[in-house]
Amino acid sequence: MDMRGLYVKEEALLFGKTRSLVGVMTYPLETAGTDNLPAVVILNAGIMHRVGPNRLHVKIARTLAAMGLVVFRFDFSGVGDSKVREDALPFEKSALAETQEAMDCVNKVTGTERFVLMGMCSGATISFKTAYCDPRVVGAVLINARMHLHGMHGEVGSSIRDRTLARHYWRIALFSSFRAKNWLKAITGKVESWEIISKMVTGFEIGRLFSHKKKASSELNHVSAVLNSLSQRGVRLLHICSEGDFSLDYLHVILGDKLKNWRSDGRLNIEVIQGANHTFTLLWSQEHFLNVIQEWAQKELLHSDRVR
Amino acid sequence: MAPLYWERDFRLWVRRLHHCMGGNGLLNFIKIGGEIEPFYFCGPEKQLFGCYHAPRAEPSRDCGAVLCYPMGHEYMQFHRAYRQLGLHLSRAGFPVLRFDFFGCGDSAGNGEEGKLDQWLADISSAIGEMKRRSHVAKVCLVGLRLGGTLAMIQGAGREDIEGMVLWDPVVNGTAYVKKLRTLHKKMLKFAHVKQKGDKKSGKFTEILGFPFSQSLLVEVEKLDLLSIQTKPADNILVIQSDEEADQKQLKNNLENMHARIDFLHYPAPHMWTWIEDFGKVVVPYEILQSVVSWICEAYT
Repeated sequence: MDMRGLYVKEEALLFGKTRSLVGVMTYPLETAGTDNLPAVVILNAGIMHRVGPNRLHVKIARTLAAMGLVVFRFDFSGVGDSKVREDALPFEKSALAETQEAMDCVNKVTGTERFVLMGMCSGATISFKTAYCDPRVVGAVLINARMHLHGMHGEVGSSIRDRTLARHYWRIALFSSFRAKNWLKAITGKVESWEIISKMVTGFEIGRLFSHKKKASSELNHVSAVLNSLSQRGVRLLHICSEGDFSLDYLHVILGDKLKNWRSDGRLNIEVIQGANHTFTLLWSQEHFLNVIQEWAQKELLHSDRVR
Repeated sequence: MAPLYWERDFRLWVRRLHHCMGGNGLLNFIKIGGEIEPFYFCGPEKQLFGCYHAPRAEPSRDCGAVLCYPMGHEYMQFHRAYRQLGLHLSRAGFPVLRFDFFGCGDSAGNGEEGKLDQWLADISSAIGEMKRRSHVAKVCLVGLRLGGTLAMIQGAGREDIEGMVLWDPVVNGTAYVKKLRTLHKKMLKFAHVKQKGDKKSGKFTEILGFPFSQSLLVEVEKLDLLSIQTKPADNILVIQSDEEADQKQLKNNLENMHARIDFLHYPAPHMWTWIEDFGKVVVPYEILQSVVSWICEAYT
């Protein structure tokens, strides 16, 4: 696979209602037989600009374009090279509107009417929300998605957050592939052990477990409704979780026993990359990550009748 | 359809954005949000990504600023600062071109294809592009870390560079590579990562998530700005924020070449560590403001 950008064509664009958002479109050089494919739109990972952490978004775009897909990476307003909005629209609304504007832009340039959204961290949350409300979205790749499935209001929100962190610390300490390193850090005093221990304990505070369980059942119904709705529309979802990130713990806390069932019935497609951190810093993990994306695209986008 | 709730998460996210821009940074950012033109230049084979900031104050100055980014993880950490610098300079009436070197950012090429000769040629192409777009006669290069080193080498080899800002340039390549390797080792110790296989594949060495070819590392290790004997520009600002790299000897050397030198010492050791969470990167507004003031003063 060549990712030098020599076998794909790249174009910088200004788009959006005020032409103040910056994006880069990556086209395949050979489009024969691929003109009916959905386009991929890659969203910012937090405040990192559109090249992505360690240039990962550029690598994804070139890999997918070499497979025949059009890929568009762009910056939300106020992030990267895009101008800050002049209206008072809150970010949670502007991000959704701008993702839709990005899809409009790709539609205008290529004629594509179906899209796959891809995002890491907060980008995953926006991808999920947009997929839920925009029927043009036929797939979403949610990379280290945290807090995208449930409500964040009040006690339930903070309880879920605490339990996720507690589970994360326990898993990292006892079961992760780099647990020896973490124990060494703790023993040599190179991490704030007491703070972590306190989170490990308080996250599973007995008193809160009962109230959480009661309220969590309504959350689970909500999550179930959302996933069913996406499934009925034929939206393909892929969750990618790094071992060193707490996105996997989040899914466990939110879905509990249902996680196994939903994975086996195909409602949730989860790939876990062992030994990788949140931003896939090491090159082997970037390569592994790209292979996962490539295989998923091959199966779900290039060879799937449902999406085409 | 049932509604989704995620407002609080995003409020936290926006607060972090505000924090990483240095407290009041968000307000400044909103005030100076300006027009830019993104484009590719330099032909289809080795196309480079550039962002052109047209001058936004009248009268516009007869000097354009070409901003040279640092490499690897430093590029990721300072992209936002460079964008801010571009906006501030354009608001002061300067045309500005920021560009990504070959194999970096949005430009063509893989990371391991980077070479010093190629990057020097990229600066030359960017200067040409700046002159073509803005019709200015004078050019000021602003370079950070390895970008600063390349700017100085480029300036010493040509006569049309009027001014230069060298922001923590790599004076000694061997020390720089050693520091990068140390940071990489530290990251391996502390981050939630597991190393697999040999980090040296034979063709390249991995440093903080970026591949460096063996030939590039050898080239970088040979870099020694103190050996340059030709004045790279008439007016030079040297900024030192990394305490480990002493820039005073460079300043003395440049003074001996009869260039007009200004020296700014702004200790900021926190800027020179590896940060996984880019939301925690702080834009150094004091340094950006000093650069803008210096360039404005030099080209009134």
